[in-house]
Amino acid sequence: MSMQSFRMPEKLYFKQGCLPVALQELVDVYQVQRVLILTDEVMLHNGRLAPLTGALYDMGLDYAVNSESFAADCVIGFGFAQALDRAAAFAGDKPFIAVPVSAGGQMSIPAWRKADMFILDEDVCVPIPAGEICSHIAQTARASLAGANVSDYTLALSVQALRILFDKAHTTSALLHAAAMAQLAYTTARSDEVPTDNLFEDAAEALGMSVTELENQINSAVTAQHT
Amino acid sequence: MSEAKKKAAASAIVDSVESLDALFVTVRAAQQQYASFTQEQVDAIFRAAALAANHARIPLAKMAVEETGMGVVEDKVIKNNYAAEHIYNHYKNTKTCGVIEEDKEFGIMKIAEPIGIIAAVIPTTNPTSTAIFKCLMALKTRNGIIISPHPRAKASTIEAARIVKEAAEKAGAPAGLIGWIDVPSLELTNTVMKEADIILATGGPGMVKSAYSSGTPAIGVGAGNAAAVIDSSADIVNAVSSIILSKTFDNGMICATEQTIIACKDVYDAVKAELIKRGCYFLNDEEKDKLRKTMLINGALNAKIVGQRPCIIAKLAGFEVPEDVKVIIGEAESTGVEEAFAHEKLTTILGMYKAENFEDAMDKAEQLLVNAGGLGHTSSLWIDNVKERAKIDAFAERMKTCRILVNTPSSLGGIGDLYNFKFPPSMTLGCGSWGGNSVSENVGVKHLLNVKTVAERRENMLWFRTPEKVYFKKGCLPVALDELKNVMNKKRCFVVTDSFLYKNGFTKVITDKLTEMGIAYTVFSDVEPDPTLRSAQLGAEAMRKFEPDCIIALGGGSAMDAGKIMWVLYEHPEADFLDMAMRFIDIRKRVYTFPKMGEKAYFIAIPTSSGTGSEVTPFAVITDQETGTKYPLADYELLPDMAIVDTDLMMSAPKGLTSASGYDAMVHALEAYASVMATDYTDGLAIRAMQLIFRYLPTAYEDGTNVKAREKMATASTMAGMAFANAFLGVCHSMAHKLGAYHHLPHGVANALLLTIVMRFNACEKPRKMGVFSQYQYPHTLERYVECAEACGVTGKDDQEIFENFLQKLEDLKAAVGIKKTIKDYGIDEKVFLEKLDQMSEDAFDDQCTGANPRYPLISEIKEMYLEAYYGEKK
Ligand SMILES: NC(=O)c1ccc[n+]([C@@H]2O[C@H](COP(=O)([O-])OP(=O)(O)OC[C@H]3O[C@@H](n4cnc5c(N)ncnc54)[C@H](O)[C@@H]3O)[C@@H](O)[C@H]2O)c1
Ligand SMILES: [Fe+2]
Repeated sequence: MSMQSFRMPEKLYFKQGCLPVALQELVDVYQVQRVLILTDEVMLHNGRLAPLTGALYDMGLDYAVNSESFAADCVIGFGFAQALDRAAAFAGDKPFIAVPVSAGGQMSIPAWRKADMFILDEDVCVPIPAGEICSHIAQTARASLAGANVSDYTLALSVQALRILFDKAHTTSALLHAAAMAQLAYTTARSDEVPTDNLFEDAAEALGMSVTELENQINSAVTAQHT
Repeated sequence: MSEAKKKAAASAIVDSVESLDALFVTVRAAQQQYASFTQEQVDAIFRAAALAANHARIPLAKMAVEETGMGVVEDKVIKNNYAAEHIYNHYKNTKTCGVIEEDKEFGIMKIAEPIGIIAAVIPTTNPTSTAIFKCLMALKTRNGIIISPHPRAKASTIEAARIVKEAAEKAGAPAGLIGWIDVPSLELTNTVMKEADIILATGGPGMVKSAYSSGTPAIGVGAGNAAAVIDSSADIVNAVSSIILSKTFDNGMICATEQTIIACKDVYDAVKAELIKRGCYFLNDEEKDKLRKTMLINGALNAKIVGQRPCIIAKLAGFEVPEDVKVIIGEAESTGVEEAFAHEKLTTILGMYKAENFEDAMDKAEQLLVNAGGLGHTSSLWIDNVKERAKIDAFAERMKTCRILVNTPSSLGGIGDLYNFKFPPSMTLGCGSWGGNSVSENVGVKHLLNVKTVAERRENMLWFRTPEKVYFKKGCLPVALDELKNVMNKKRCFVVTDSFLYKNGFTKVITDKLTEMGIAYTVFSDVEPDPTLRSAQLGAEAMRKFEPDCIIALGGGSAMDAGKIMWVLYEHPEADFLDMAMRFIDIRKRVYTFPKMGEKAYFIAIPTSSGTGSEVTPFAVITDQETGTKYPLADYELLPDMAIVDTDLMMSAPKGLTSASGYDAMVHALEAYASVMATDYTDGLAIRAMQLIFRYLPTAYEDGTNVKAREKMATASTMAGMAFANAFLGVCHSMAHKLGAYHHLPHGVANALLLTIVMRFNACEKPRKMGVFSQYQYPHTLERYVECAEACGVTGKDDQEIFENFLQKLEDLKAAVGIKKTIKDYGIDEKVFLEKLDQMSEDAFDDQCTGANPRYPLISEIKEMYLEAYYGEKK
């Protein structure tokens, strides 16, 4: 393989309550006026959209929800993987902002790959039981360590995710970030080609444990939710 | 005091200091009770009181005119109605009790509390309406109020207060919340002002002054003296009738009323004719002189003419005018203090001036304010407000007045809500510092509340940013460049590098590839180490000629940084370099808004040394060749769009470069990890970088041909770059920047000489000052270093021992790659070093990297660290 890459959304913003602060860039940097929000059907009825629409309203921006005919100059994907997949595909050359509500669980891979701005705000996320998040982190990190495009970059992120996972004192908020890091690593490392390299050994060493120990710990995290 | 006594006191006549003291006791007790009322209760009371006052508007108006002998009953009816109804409607939904504002997301809450007892001084000119206004304000804000009426208007003032009081009490307000002095005197007015919690004073300058001198917080308002400027473009018919309406309203007693007209020469006669047509009387010279003598007595306004009709004023002055004259006008030339027509008259007399042009009209208006009073109060302008926006702006800029009214009768316009519905209604108009007042707005409920702000700790938004694309792997350069043609369709490429790299063929891979793809290019190879602004300007000049749509910067930190600066200068020739170099703590809160990049050219950074990380950072360091000052620029707009890290380019790096830049990368990783702005993303990258550097730097140094070692060092350096691009650095870099600049040590070497000393300084658990950043909660740097140590395989019996072993490991690495132990070892003369030490310490303290350090250093502490690094031991 003659070339490898590390791809990131241009901007990743995070921390509880960061959504309205980050969105300020729509006006300050992107200078948009009309925003199309693409979201899941359920979001229309459960009130979760309010912090987003409220922030857009406060900034004096025109917006429409799920109406693809709306002449928008910016697309925000808000919701679960499906809505974000759709938004990523729909955005084209327009600024694309991804606001997942499923941090800690499965997130849209096209959104990670295409977003100009990726916003992780716990306040808008749907709560997921800690056991499920742990299991998700373990699986994603494991998959990313065995991806076709693994590198020290993806290793660093997935190892950090595991470090948080294995830390007995982790908070839910730390777990959400760990899940996001594992996803980020996975998004870059994964490839449809057959894996050529395996960084399990390096990961174990970086975490100061043996490969068997690492495998055991990952396995027990994956299955933890079932017990 | 017993209940019975209290009752007696409440109903007793207040005519002495003792009875006033008793009144205070009553009002205070009532107010304390009222302070716990809810918004709902308060609003019901406010409403009932306003209704009652409005209901009594006619009898109160009659009473006021009868008692004071001033003004017009019908107009006072309007004023009473205004003070009750407009005030009610404007404030009925305003929150004044408890939590009045809350933003959970930003963690801020505002709580309104009453102030206590308001001392309300009421003028003769608007006795009933001002009393209604102030009592209603007090009720809405849960304050008590004691009214000090003017002796000439006491009966009507007290009656107005009584009506509001009774209605309020009937609606549930505690008894005795509103009180007054029955027999006013100077002594009692002074006492009430002294004892109250806040003074709300409306009246003449003398009274306002004594309010401010009482020692009690005061909202006093000053005298008016509004001039109406009539521009040549004005609608004269509208202007004249409006001014007459305004001037005759309650016989001119509202403080915002026009006192003079200043008409531009070309419309002067037309204005005059229209005034005459609408019932104004122009005085002849003899009458003017008579009136001047009557108007001002020893420089003070004659109270007898206040609020009178023209025929009565004329009689007082010793001449006659017809009964139906509306306004008497005296044409004047002087705007000096000696001209009576220039002053505030509070009656139906106007002065009138002819101006050469608009500029002269503004001069005259300004002179009147300065010479004859009214600074800070009100100005009025009649003008074509569509075509003459520039004149309106000029007028607004020139007038030192807090109300600038355009095409509006100033008396009714100034009190708000009648001619402009965003302008809050008030009977008490602040004049700002120009008028010697503490408030420059129309006084409203917000001025009568204590507002507490509850601000909860919130953490800053965090971010992680890297170039959109990072390509790596030995030999990846030509493959990565394919995209320029295939994906981006670039046409013209500008390559920036230094002469050594150019002469040694480093650019050939790139230029060959560009030729193959048919992309035009030019190479700029004049970058010197520690690039200067001058060379960046030359490069930008060349760019402007070549007009590239893509820039490739190839080299060490110097060439990449120079390329970034050229990019800024090329995209934004107008950008002010010194502004951009401003120091920052939070990169997103910089004072200078960095110009938006990438509109003209796509920026690719290709490192040839492993260390600076510049290919993935938003920083660039540039030196001013005149002064030798190094400017660190920082903004995410400086982040390259693409980074290509190809080990092939690094294989030939000489030993000195490999060790210095490799150690620099280690310091980047450690400082980013200890930074107050570190996040999980930067932590993961920094730790991996440290692991790789410990393992591969010695090999890369010993055996430059070892591909794996070179490759891992390249990766480590870029990863450490990503970490500090987002978490920033610390005081080790602050000190290294200055040490390098003062004594010409390579950047990486300077850092290596300081690192372990700074780490020991940071690890202290009782720092004299800790770093300031919302996320950073308590000094925990020792723990953080131990995390790094353990990840790098260091062990020990406790944290302290692990930390010491880690420092030793870092010193061992230094030795292994040929870096000496102390600054002295590099042959820097002791005398020279000590001479420059104070200045160097101060400069290092001021370096922008200091802001993210977990321990906030004192200048003296920096100096101690420098000394230790010089001698190799504590001095
Ligand atoms: N922007 C940032 O984030 C950042 C960070 C750290 C330092 N810096 C700046 O970077 C500069 C130092 O950068 P540097 O240490 O890379 O030095 P450099 O770019 O000045 O290069 C030093 C010398 O090494 C030569 N060289 C480079 N690559 C080589 C190779 N592969 N083979 C042989 N020779 C090679 C160069 O031609 C030059 O003569 C300083 O100006 C410093 O302020 C910037
Ligand atoms: Fe550095």
